[in-house]
Amino acid sequence: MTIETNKAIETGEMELGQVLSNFRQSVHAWSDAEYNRPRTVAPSALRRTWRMTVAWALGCVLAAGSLSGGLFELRHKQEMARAAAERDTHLRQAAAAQPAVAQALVKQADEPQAGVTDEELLAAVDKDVSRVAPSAMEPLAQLMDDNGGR
Amino acid sequence: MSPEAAQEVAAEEFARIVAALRPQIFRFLLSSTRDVDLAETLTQDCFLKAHRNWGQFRGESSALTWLMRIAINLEKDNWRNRRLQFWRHTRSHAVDLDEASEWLPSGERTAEQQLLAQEQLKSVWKVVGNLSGRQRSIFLLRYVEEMELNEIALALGLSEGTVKAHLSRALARVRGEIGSRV
Repeated sequence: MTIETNKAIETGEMELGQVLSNFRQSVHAWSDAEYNRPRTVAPSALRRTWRMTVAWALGCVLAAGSLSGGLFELRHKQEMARAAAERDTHLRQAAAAQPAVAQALVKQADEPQAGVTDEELLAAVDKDVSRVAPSAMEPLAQLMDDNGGR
Repeated sequence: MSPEAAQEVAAEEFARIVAALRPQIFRFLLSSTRDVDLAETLTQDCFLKAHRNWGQFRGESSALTWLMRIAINLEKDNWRNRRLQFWRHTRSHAVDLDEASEWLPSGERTAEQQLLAQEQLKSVWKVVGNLSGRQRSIFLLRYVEEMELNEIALALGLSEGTVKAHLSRALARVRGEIGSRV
């Protein structure tokens, strides 16, 4: 290495040393200033007001929601009770107007269908459901009868 | 010595250490985070943790090295938590490079010299900001806190050789940044 190169390196290192020393002093000065700065813990009035407003608004919304929910539930229950009472009254009135029919219906509902076997019941159902199907040749046979008759 | 008396002595000793080393821990955390509020919070946490574990301190390293180790771990945890909670709008109070570079060392200087010093400080802050967490800690412990290499190695739980290597890389970057500016 030449003397110039050595000098350049030395100059560079000196400059770096100076920069690092300045950096250290700068950080120390900043830190000391911040460390000894008096601290205030009171939040600003504006922020406090804003927080209070938001808290009250949320509280009101929650209270109104709870109240309306409770009222809705109460009204719904009342409606249901009234409808049930009306239905009960209708049934009682109908039963009072047609005592014979009601008694018969009640009797039919109460009495078990004794003496009817499963086979008989199925046969009765088949009989009710089945119908007489016309024979496919029957109309022609009727025509033949008519012609023959003449 | 009765347990009560021993406890009292330990409390007095801890109070003395807090009074002596609190500014230094705060300074290290301030230079690491560039955030005054965060540095204050982490300093409080550091001494709280130290107080809880004071009974386990064996004196194998100096109290400063032990406290620095706690402070470095707290800073690392804080950084990790912030990174994990990226969805949360966490406001950073870190000052920018210009503001951090405003603190010039006192001395008789011309306006031109002050401007040059300010530019150089900005370059160093820029490099420090771009260093990895470990390199930043090593650089700050060495050139701001002026700790010895073996103390830094103890505080970080690394070998002295590793500390030297990290420091050399960090210095090379500072040198490069200053060289590019001048």
